[in-house]
Amino acid sequence: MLSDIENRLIEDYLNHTLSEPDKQLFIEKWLENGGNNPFAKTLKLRQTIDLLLENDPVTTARLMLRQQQTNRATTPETLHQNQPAQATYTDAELRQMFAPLPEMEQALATRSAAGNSLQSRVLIPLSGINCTNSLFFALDHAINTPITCAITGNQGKQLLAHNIPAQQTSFEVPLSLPPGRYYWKLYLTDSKQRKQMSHAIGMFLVNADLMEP
Amino acid sequence: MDDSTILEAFRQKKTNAEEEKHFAEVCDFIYNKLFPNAKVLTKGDKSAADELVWTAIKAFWQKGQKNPDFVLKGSWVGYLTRIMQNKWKDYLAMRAKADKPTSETTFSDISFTPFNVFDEIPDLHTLFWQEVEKLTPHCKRIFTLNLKEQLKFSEIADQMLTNENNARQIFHACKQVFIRNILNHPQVEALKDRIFLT
Repeated sequence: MLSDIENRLIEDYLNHTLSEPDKQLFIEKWLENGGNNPFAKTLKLRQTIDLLLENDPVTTARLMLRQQQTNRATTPETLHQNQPAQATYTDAELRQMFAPLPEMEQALATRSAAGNSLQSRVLIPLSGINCTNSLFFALDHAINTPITCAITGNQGKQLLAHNIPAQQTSFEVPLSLPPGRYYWKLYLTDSKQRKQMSHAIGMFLVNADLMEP
Repeated sequence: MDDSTILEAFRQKKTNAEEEKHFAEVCDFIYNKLFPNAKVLTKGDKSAADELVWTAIKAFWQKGQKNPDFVLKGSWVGYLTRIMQNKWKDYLAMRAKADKPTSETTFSDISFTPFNVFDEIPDLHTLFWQEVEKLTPHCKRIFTLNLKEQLKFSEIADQMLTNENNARQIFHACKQVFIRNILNHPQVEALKDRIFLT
């Protein structure tokens, strides 16, 4: 249980009535164990209840979506769909499918996001993302020329190329790939302009859960 | 879903169930784009990733409400991604200097903790309304008018044949009872026990 002082600190914090000395004490309590402590967790619980009482739209949306997820997960159809798929790959096959491609890993480790490079424009996907049927890209600013997205497997073979029109800040590349490790590369379709911005690369996984123990 | 639909949803105040539903759809769209990336940041910790995405959505919402005329320099997803990355970076830094708070540590350092109440109490919504049902008829009425029907306190006052100030005071008094009750609910008590065991 929290001490009376700790409970009072939480109440005062929520009511915006913490005194200056208490503020420091509050911070110390909250930071203990990197925020992973009963004081910080109890505060978060209280804040969540307060948000519900304030009819906070983000909290309401979060609850609404959770409820929908739960309902979907418990329908007979979904229960059937959620059954674990029959394992169709051996451990050796999976290891091969998810094995890194050394030259691409090297390129990833040394890629530069400096200046006006295309790499610096790509905000997501973060390298190592796990996806199933599409890869969502977001750029910090639109690029005024079309882009090509090439997908390469972990054997170094290009599997598909997807064209993206100019002036997009986000786009989705549909995928239909077996589980494994893949690499994406974005480059300007116009070869004359390509030199200016170079290219962007990243790695992604499909059905990475198959690799989990 | 285009950028303007997303921005508009974050600028508008929600006043009815239809708008709430639309906002939830927008959040769902955003969530599905960000969650796999958040999982990369949290190294596969789904619960922390969920909390991180919602923390970013909340910050974006607050920005839209504070200044509905705000103009994003880049894309919305860029803004949200940066929030996620910064919050996670701050969290890791805070964890690294755990137990060593300095006099320079300020309230702004208290920004994110991956503790996910919604994962810990999956049926929080049901539990919340079950507890509302247990309130006195007077409190139940004011909670319903305020939280379900989303009436303003002036409108609640009209319905309850009192003035606005009184309506606020009644709500506040009921809220205190409600908080006490919900914190003593067995599921919340069990969560608190788990909190103190970890």
